Amino acid sequence: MKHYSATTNSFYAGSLRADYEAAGTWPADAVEVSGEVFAEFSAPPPAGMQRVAGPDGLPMWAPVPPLPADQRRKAAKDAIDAAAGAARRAFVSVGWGVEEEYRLAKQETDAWIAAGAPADAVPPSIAAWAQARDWTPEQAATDILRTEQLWTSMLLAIREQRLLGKGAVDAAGDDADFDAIAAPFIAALDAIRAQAP
Amino acid sequence: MARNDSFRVRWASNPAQFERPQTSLIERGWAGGANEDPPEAKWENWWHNRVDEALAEVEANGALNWQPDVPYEAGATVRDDGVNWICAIPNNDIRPSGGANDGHWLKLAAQATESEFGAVRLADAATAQGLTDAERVLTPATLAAAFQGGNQSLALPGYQKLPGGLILQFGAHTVQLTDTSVASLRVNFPISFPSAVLGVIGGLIAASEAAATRFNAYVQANQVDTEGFLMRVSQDEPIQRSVGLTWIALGR
Repeated sequence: MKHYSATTNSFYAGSLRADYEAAGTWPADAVEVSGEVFAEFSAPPPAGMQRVAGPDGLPMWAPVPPLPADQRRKAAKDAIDAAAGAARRAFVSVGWGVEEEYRLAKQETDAWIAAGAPADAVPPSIAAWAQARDWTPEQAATDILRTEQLWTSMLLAIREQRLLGKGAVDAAGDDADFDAIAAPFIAALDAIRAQAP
Repeated sequence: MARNDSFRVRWASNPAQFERPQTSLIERGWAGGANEDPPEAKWENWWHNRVDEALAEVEANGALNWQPDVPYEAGATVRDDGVNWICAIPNNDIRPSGGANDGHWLKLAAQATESEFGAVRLADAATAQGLTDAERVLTPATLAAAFQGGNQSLALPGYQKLPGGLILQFGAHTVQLTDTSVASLRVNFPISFPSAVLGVIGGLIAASEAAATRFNAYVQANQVDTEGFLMRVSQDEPIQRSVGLTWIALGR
């Protein structure tokens, strides 16, 4: 036979009663419950519910209370960050040091053009890209600068949506629907991601 | 023919009117015939009395009193010093209650104990499940029964108490994720652990490594008690998903 205690909101096996009593953990308000009650309320709760002690001292399902505002606010902001991260990754192949590699290529290209694009002094980053694409060094340099410019402008756009969205969530009152406030910013970030080549 | 009397009243016992004849006469018995002396009453009485005494011993104790001149075979049962003994090693002139008894005779108690042989009773299923009885014995069937009944619930979630006190509990859950925030799931053990939780293992059920790497699930430290525990689950992308979890807990 199974027993239920409203105080602890927990079930107890009657056959283990001696063990509970030896440990001093048999609740004073333990009441015997049917096998049906035990089967229903020891199983996982229905979606959005949790087990609580009912007014009759027996278990019942009750809605899980909403999370505190700070946790819901953080969840909405985390969702914006996640969307921003996904958009950002869409413009640069994933891998450690990739951003640094882009920056180096941009620096070398800027310096080479400033020096008048001497054919006998093509920097390695341009030469490698030209060879990979079967382009002239000038074509490779133009592509590096264009790609870098696109990436920079997209990064700025992503950053703008991310900061505006999180700012809007922070500015809303504690009872606001933070997910709804974050939704348009997440949609904008997803749209930016969709523009990736 | 039914016997209506016990052997409590022995032949020629009150007053005692018997005398042991010479051993040669006992061996020869009555010769019979006109030229032989008729048997004397005291000898005839001795013989009746001896048989009655022996049968009274068997009647009251289930065994004859031990005698020093008998070559006892293994399995023989005798009475000595108020208890019965079973012969384990063939012998003669080794008194069961004496100092020379070195495993020749084993004392038979009415009920077997840890040190004495005797009758035993089989445990029933409820006694086996109680895991405390020290008098009845298990059969393979009641050994299995000891793990069952209230010591076991093989549903999901379920539990198993092992003889010795270790308790296993297990279950499965599904958590709905809506975004990348960490979801908290309070899992109630099917039954409270009487004394303590020794460990909880909780993990993901995923169809592939690719799916598994999208999620993270762990048992929250300091959120485990004898009634349940807290699992925390998250994913790396903000979409609606249901995640399967499974768990095992050990305790006592």
